[in-house]
Amino acid sequence: MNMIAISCFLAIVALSLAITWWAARNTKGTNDFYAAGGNVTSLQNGLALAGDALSAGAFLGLTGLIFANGFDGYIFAIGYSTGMPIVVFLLAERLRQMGKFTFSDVVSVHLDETPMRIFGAAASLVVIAFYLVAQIVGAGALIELLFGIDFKVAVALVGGLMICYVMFGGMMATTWVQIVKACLMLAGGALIAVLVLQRFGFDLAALLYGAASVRPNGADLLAPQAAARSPFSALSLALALMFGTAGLPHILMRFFTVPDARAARNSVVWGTAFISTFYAATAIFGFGAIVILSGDATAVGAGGKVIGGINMVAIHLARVLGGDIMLGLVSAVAFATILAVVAGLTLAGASAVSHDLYARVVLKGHVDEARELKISRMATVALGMLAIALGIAFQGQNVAYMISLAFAIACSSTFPVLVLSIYWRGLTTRGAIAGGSIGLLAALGLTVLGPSMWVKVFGFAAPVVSLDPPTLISMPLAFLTCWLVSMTQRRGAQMLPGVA
Amino acid sequence: MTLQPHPPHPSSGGSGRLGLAATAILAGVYLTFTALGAFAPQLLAAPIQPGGIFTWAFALGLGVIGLGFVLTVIYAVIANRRESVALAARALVPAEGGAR
Repeated sequence: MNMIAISCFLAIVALSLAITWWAARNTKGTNDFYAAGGNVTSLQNGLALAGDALSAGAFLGLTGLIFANGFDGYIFAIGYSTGMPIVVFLLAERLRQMGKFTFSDVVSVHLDETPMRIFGAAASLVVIAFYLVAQIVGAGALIELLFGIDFKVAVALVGGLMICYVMFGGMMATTWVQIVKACLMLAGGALIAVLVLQRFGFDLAALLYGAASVRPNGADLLAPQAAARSPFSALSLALALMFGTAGLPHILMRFFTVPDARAARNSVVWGTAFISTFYAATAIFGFGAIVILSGDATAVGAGGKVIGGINMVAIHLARVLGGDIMLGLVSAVAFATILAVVAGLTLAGASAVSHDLYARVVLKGHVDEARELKISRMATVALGMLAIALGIAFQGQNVAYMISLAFAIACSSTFPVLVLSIYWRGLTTRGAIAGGSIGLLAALGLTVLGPSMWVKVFGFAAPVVSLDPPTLISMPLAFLTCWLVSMTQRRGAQMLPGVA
Repeated sequence: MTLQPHPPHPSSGGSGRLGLAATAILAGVYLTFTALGAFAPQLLAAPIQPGGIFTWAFALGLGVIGLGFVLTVIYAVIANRRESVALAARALVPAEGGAR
């Protein structure tokens, strides 16, 4: 056990609880709870967006992927970096103008409200469920490893803290926890990058020469290899990485926290600056780790296996670079990251239940704020408990496919419906629901039959569908279905009245 | 399918077309980069300078990351300016509420 790591960990828990206490005193109505009162500044929202986008996967996962596969890992960083710009180009200011608290507000502006909200809430909850379980299982494993706590206790701890932030502090606490975490992560990343570069005399070429010379297949690390083996999966992955972010409910929800469209745009400029810099820097972490950890018996065991698994590469790198102090700091940052992202996801899920389903569908908007707030808090507790239970149920499982599933579903269901409802006047309610549902089912079904589940989870020898992720089929299918059903419906006798 | 934006919101500075154009540029460049990796990997594996260590994969990959940020800044600047102009015009002609 590392005393510095534990002190950092306790400091973060104390700080986030202080933020929650402060936010709870300032959270009075639904606007405070779902959207932090709509008073978040551009820079603050930019940091919170960076916090949401840079999950533990972005730091620990990408460093591990680059360490293992060189440029094939860096492909993910490049792809993820295109996600946030797409959100600003297509959605950010329209969300701010057309919606109030959730993305279902936006899709139901021009369409029939009740079915659109049911669809929106259901699709959001599916995306959130997969994303949340993957984060929770990753969190439990990481905390078990870093602090030597039992997995179940670790999951319950993360779940309990997350319920506490969201239930008492709502969006205000979630946003500030996210801002603190983003600052810690950017500072930690910068420190690691400087320490790595220092070893190579601040010469990137020397770093890459080092990486290429310590591995037998060295030159292969410097350019994509996997894409040529399965070209269509590579294109499919590119689509998922690029458009998935634009369908993630907890990211979309951030745009309701800023006062107006201009603040929405400006916050993405800040967010993109932080996110792009961090993703670009993952090359330094990953390629640096290839050189620095090579032949280090405390990080890479016999047979070339990373001790603690591939996600621990960044943690080993921090320890080798800066001893126990860096190890403690980076572990604490990783922990803060997980807490902040799961809190954002839970809040997005709770709003889908209380705002879309309860307040708008069940009570048709005839609800007082205090009651809606109470339902939202109950939904938070229920979702949190469910996440803890699922996290424990999936202990030790390979859950990597869940993140890619969340992205595939997001860009095959929520994203097409959202984009078409904003940009295409011809979209009908039936078209939107048919397209979004078929996209969701196609993404889900093809993932089950694909390499990441059929082979890696169920243990069959060969996948039924080799495309992984299935976005190249499911995303165009969703758009096509939306279009086809809308057109056939409009060709039919009755034209829908254009509800403005 | 024609993508036709709804009538602009009174305070909509970034027109739909600007956003769609920026999306098309970024998607075009990024998907071309991916397609090069899939169908012409030897091009990306080639060093930029003969004998150098930096491959075209790094140059283009970092280029995609940079392009995303640059386009975001350009988009925000243009949209903010249009919004200011539209708001100023609206203040001058109170009867007409059009953004463009």
